[in-house]
Amino acid sequence: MRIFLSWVILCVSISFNAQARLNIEITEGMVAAVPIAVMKSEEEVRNAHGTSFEQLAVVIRNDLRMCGRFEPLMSAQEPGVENIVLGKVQALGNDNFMVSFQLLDVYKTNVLTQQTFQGVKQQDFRKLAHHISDVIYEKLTGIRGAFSTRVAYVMVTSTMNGKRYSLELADADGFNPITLVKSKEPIMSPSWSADGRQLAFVSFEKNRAEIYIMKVATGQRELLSRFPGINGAPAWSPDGRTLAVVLSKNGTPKIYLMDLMTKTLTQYTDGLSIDTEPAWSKDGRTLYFTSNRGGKPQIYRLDLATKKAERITYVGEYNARPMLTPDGKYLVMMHRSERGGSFNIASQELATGQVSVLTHANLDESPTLSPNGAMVLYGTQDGDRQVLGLVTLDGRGQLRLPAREGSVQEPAWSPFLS
Amino acid sequence: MYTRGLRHLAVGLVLCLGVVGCSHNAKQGAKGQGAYTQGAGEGAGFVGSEQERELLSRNKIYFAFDSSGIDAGYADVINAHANYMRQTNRPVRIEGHADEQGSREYNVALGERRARAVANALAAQGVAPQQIAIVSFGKEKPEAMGHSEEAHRLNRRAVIVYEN
Repeated sequence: MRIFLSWVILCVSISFNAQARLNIEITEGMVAAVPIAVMKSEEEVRNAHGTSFEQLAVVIRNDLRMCGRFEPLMSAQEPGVENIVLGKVQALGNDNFMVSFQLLDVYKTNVLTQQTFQGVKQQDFRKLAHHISDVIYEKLTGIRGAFSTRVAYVMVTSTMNGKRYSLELADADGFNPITLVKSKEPIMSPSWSADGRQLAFVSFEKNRAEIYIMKVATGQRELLSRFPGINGAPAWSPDGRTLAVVLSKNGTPKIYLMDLMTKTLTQYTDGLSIDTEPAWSKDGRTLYFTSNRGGKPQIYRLDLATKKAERITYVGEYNARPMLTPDGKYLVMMHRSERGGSFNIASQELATGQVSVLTHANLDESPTLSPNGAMVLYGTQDGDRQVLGLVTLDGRGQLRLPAREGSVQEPAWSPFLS
Repeated sequence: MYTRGLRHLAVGLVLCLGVVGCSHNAKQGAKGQGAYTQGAGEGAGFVGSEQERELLSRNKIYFAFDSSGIDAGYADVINAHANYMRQTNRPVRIEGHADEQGSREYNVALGERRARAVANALAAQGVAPQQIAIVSFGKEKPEAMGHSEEAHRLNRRAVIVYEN
């Protein structure tokens, strides 16, 4: 009877994502996911407000499931459980709660970490749960957690009068979506500034391509570029002073750098090829970009000091949409092995040139890395809709995140947010 | 005299109805593409045969995979549009598109190549370059849904859209 009840709670908590536009749905098993129990401590006293650590546990279990390394459970009785998270919420009256948790090692019955938070309001439970997920993740993996980050994405819905496009922003688990821009014409290429305060994007609201930057906190936006032809693929430099953009005002799409203070433009690639999708290295000295200067789209590296470009990808007949991992060791990209084959997300180890294909559907695209470099969010097909997929950089954990309505595309994972 | 006038009137009426039919199609084609646009053939000052109006009602040019070369079969269509543009000076927007395969921004570039190819073909027929605007939507606005070869073929296109 008790077991049945806890399974009912589990089912309810998964479909409870009714508020979120992006639902977490496990469609593929995860290899070598470590079982971890997350539950309320027996010490938690039932209080008049009905609040419980279980409200945070739901969020924490979802976070840990999403990162692909853990199999979160509601009970420590399951076999193979290595760690337990026990928490409790104490109501102190007047929307003032004290929340505490412990992360325990089952075998040694060690307390690996414990924290107590005072003065917590009920509306902050979700944010606090994400923070606890970060702490647990870092303690168990040594890697900084990315559960308190956000994802920007483009949502496309079909109405009787045609398609509607919107640029939206949600928590990394898909909750609390807000709409930043709504349009009858396409929106593309959302791109975060390194401080997480601004988003650049491409809008076709005026039936032509324009690049805007927008302050996330206020929604205030500024038009940066509306030259004839393509204005696309904006990418912020790590120091926030420069925006790389693609302009075709002189005939073919080339990469330019725009100084954000003076708005002056400098051209950095030339020739008759298509050059697009610039991505910065962390030291701001090189740009990776897609180019067909060798015939088919491949990824090149541009030295900004010398303006010299060299080809980086040699495996596969189509490589595009580069993004560098935070440690600079891997390139994540769109990849097609041979002509007529499927498009998938792949990683290339820059030191060796070795390519690993991470995903396996037909039309995977638009990869974006979590700021800790551990997870890749990307676009994939589900019938005639676009949905998001999630895969760990080692390719082992895979999830699908279907939207409740419409199509979701072009995810952009925020940096760490303070 | 009166009969001749009546006959001219009758022919004129048929042509007008034909034009309304043409422009209705053009409006249907232009639906969902943003600003309301009238089809070719409705502008004041246009003189042309019924065959020309038929060619003008065709405003989409399709392309082979990974290509921006215009098939010779479209020469008549392009000539008809070029004539119309030179006569009426109407501003026009060429919209370029790509199929769903490949990355989004790269496909914007492919779509633009197609739009430019059509714009260049029109300019080669004497249309003033300032009259022609180009925009590429890449793969963002597919006309045909689905993943078949046929859907891909229908999405690899450039569309001639007359602005008001």
